[in-house]
Amino acid sequence: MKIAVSALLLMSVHIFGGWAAATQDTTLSNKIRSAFLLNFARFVDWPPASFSSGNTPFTLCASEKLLPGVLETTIRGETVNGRTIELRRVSDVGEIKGCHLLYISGAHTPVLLRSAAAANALTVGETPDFLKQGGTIRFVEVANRVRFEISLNAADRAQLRVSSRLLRLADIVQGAP
Amino acid sequence: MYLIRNLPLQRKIVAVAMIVTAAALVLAGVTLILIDFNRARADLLEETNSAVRILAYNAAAAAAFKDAEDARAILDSLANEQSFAAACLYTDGLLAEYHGPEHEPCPPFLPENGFTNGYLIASSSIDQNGTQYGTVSVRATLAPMYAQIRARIAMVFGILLLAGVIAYALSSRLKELIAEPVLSLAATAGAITAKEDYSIRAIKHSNDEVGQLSESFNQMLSLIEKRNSELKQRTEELVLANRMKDEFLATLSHELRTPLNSMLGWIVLLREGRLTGAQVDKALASIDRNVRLQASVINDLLDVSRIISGKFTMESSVIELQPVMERSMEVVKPAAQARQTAIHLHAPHDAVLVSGDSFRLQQVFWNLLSNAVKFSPEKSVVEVSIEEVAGQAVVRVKDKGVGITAEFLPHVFDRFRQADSSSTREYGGLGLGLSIVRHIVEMHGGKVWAESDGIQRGSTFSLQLPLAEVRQDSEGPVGLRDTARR
Repeated sequence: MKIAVSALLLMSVHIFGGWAAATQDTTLSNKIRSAFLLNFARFVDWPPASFSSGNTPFTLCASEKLLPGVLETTIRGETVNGRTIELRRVSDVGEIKGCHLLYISGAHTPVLLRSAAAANALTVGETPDFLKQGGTIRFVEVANRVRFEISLNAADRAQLRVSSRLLRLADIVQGAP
Repeated sequence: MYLIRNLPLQRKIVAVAMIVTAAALVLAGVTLILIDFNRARADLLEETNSAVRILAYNAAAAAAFKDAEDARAILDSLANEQSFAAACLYTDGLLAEYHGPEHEPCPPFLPENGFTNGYLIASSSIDQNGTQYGTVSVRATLAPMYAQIRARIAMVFGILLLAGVIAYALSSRLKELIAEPVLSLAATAGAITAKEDYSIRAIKHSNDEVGQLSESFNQMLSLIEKRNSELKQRTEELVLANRMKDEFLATLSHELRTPLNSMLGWIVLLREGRLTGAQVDKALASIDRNVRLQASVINDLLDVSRIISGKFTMESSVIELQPVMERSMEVVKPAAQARQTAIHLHAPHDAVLVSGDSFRLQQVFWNLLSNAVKFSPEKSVVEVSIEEVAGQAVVRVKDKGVGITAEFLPHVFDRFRQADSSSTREYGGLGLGLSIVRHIVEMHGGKVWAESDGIQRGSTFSLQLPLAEVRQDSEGPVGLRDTARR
């Protein structure tokens, strides 16, 4: 047990570094965002049709310029519900087919969001009106800490089930039942 | 065990009842407490395990996102449960904790599971989709459980005390069932020993072994009592017999000696040859009388000896009583004349016939007559009668002599018994005659008895003999007188 705890501790330190640290440090902030993305994937259930088979990898899609390098490091060796994680850098609407989680930002956001709902993708963004545009989870930085908001309506549209335990942690939950 | 062994029976019964009750209750109590203790432990373990599992599930997201506030909020849900002292959530180090106001905070690292120092520690890892985010550890205090066990022990002791009181009360009542008969028996035995009174009897209280014991005890007592009284009577008889024998010996010596003195005196005078013819006759008559007296004494002794050894025999033929009586009167006549005493015989004209030995019957009549003459004052009358009454021949010899006391009356026919046993006896004799009389009469199938109105009021000796059955064609009675007549 002690060994396991120690291992977890080492791994956590390695992955996340200091936790409550300020987010001015972009690297640290990005690390936290990467870890959050992975955690979102673990507290959300996708409809079975999203995976063509039992060993279909979990596809994590992210815009090219987001969390460069850090995201790759974070997901290395990790799994989501027993599935390996496949990272796909996307820049165009045509590329989002098969994405389970889509981390986006920038000008194409509204267009991408419309398609993502149809593709049962969990959309994560950071723009102020991300949820209004139809996104599911938005990162916010409050008092130098990374927090997030969730839109249940968007999750419903994409047929995703968000764990209530995740909802507890969200600062704002839109469309709560 | 040694202490109980020497207790009185009643206390012993109570002690046994108390010990058995206490042993049963203590065993039951200890068993119940142990079962309770184990169940309480198991319950607490299960309760704590399920609490820690729920916490681990609820706090999964908080652990994943390292949200200490939310984790704290989740752990705080234990605050309502008295038995949980603390809950600690570890990710990389202690992320959040809850601890009761009076309990220690969480240690910096995950503690080991198990029962330690009054606490139960249980933990569960926080897993989500195959990823372990941390561990929740819950510390439950055993104090409520111990309090419950203490309460249970107190209750068991209370019941023990109450049961002890009830057992004491019940056994105090019930002990009498067992102890009372035994104690009563013991008291009876003690009283008998102390008073040497074997007429006391044990009371039978029940039909159990003690009851049977009482019965056997009583039977034993009856036996002892009977033996005792028999022994006492026998001893008295023996003492009396012994005394009578001593007296008899004295009497016998005297009776044998007296005639010898008289005879020796006369013999000395005869040898000197200076006696006149009349004096010689008187001397010879005296010697003759004394020799006969001594012979009769010795005959009596021989008869008694024969009676005792069972060799006393008699012949049997049909005899007429009147001539037998007349012959007896002839024998007593000199003595009667010497005392100027008349003997009157009243007899029926017809022969009174009995079956027996004429010589022995003559001995009987002679005895009665000589007693009557001997104990009568001078110049008195002895009345003799022979009658037939209800198929029996009844012979009575009545004198007006010294009489017999009521106390001595039943003993007149006893061997060696004489009313006057003092050495200065007025009347001679050995006291054997009447015992021989009774023996002879009883051998004839009859009986003899004496009556007297008291001292100086005379006495009557009666005897009764069955009449002889004489056939018509018989040759008639055989009697000395009859034979002489023919």
